[in-house]
Amino acid sequence: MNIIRHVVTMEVKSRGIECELGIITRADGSAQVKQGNTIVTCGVYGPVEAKSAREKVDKAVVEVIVKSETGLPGPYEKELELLMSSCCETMILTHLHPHTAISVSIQIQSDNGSVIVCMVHALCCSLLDACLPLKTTFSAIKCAFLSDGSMLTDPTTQQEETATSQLTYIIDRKGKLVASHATGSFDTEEYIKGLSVASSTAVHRTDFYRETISRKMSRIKQ
Amino acid sequence: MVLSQTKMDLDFRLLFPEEFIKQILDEGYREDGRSHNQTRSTTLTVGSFKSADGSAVVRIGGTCVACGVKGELANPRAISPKDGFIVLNVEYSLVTGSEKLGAIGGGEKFFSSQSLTQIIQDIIHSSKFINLEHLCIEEGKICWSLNVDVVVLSCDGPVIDACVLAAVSALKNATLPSVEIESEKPLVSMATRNHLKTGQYPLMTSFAIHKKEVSDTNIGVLVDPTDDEAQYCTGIVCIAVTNDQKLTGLYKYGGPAMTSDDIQKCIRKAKKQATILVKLIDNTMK
Amino acid sequence: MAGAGSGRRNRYLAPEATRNPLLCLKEKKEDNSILRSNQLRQDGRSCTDIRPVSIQSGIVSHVTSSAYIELGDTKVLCSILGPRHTQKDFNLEGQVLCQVKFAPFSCHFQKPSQQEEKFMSSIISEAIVGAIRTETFPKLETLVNIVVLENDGSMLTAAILCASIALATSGIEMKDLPTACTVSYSDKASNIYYDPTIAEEYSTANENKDVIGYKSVVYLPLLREISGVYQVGVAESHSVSSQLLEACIEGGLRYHERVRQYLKDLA
Repeated sequence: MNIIRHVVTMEVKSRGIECELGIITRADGSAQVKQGNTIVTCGVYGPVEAKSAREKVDKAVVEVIVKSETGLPGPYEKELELLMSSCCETMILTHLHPHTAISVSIQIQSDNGSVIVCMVHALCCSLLDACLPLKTTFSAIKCAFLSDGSMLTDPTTQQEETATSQLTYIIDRKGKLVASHATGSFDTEEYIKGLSVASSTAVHRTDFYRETISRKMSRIKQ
Repeated sequence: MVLSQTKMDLDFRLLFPEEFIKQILDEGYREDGRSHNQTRSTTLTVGSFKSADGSAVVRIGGTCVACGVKGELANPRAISPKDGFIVLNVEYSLVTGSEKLGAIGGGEKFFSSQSLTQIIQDIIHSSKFINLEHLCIEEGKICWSLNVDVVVLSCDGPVIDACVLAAVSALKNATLPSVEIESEKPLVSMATRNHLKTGQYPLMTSFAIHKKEVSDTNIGVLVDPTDDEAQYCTGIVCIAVTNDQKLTGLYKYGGPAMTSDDIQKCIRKAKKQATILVKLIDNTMK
Repeated sequence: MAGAGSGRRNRYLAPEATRNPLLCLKEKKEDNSILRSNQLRQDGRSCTDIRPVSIQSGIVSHVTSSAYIELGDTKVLCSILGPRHTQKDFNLEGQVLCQVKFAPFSCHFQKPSQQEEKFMSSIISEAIVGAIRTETFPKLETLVNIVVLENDGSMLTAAILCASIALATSGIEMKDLPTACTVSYSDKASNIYYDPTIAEEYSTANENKDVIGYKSVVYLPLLREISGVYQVGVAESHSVSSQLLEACIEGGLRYHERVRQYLKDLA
């Protein structure tokens, strides 16, 4: 089993990311990502043969399941599934695997703020671990604005609860916006400010993914 | 201008719907003759369902959504004894064809009813539209619970925009009977009914994002996409703006990556669209 | 409410139990009678008058056909899907599946349960299937989906009429255009009220002593056949029963004329 642990700290103030690949032995790719006390595990299965009802002739079908730490899945989980599956569809080169299905399960193990960020990183790492052909890798960052107008990056749950707005950006390697989940009350300037911060971190995250995979590869060589 | 459709066009449309829409969009037109940032006509009717305490029907092009608000008496939760409840639920009605049936019944729906429920509940709460404390009748004892049921009757385009508009208008239209407490028991008198106290309300505008073939960096943005257009365009952006022009939700789901200029263009358009919808609501509620 | 994600991480609280405000009314309704002193009903109709009918078709996008009907305040929407492939076993006759659902805000008091919805579906399904030439689409199924947006009485009539308009505009071959009518009646059928509102319909919750039941009949005018009867309440004798039946058929023909006129104008 290839377990890789390492910590990358950002220039933008955020908690370090800790990643462990291959944590689920029976999945084709898996990863556990920790950011502070937020822990998310993700497993990728496939491409496998799709059920005839769901099958698409020109591309692979991606199914995403999100489970939170407690309780039955509800609207909250369904919305996260929608966000994650839209990321998967954009990231994976689905047309290379027609008639198949790729299923992704994401388990939130503990949520101490910025859970979407952690989910995106876990998703990317496990897709890389599964060796699926990807267009690009994504990274995410969450900003929260407080009532006095100051900005926090990578907020914890307590910080989220006092914030007036919570903006999560999912960006590609070039720092452009791929997906966004922003709630609360905010104005255009705040949103754009958060986006520019997110763009500036993109390159660091790419290094993080590269290092994660290169460590995995060096393990295999040995 | 409306494109004249010959027999050959129609055959081409039938056989290669994606290619057809792609070619039209690349040339800068849309199938129904609109320009890229033109919306379809929106109609709003309020108070048409007498069985509900407040109701609204919204039609945006071929999309039709009905919403009814019914008030019920409930006991407040111990953690928030001053607050009432707003229980919002969105469902695709039977007549649109089942959610699972895919292409046969109204195309595959991008938003599941549950994710619509979550998003709309998020933006209604975060825009501070209704202060839950106003729904309190007696602290810790009794309060109103508003069941806001949004039913999608026909889908052809931005269902989420129509749902938000319907939910907001129905809540603004809603009246609740007055309640007195007599020896711990609530007594409802239907004769005197009062409107809810409402604050800033959210309005949603959706965009579809597609990549133009000509150059890699160029993306096209369609406002108020129809179902067929949304299926070809991989990205969806939904922007919620309150009536005082503050943003209260910005959702983007996949598709081509956007720069901050692209996003700002969308926000400007969403704000402009919000002022139009505010006028529509004001005129209807008069 | 604390900032953006109120409650515990974007989950919203729902009450544990709720009470219908109609059960805690302060004042009781004084006037329960159906007829005013001038022998007209509360909404100004005479006993045999039906409420204004408004019809519209083609509201729902991406379905074979659809129709919307209003009988006074009763509002029903119907859409037809198919004929299309079915997963079910081979059958030389086409299958017609009918489903009725009530919108959550459709009823003044309480929405009918799922069992009641299923029961309504089976009544409507059996009443209309006789008018459809099912042999013209073997191995296929057609879905007739009906949504009741507001129930202010005569819901069965509205649903049948709506389904028959939707079927007529769908291009599915039919033998006849089913029509229906609902009447409610007082003791010994001394008064028969055509097209009753919800207050004039009989139910156990209704404290109205004036009416003792109501009857809905589905009629196929060209075949001169009755394809469905639904009655709630007592009809003491054979003569009362047949009197009601005739009233329903007479009312049904009136609706039929209205529907035919609409379809003619459409063509």
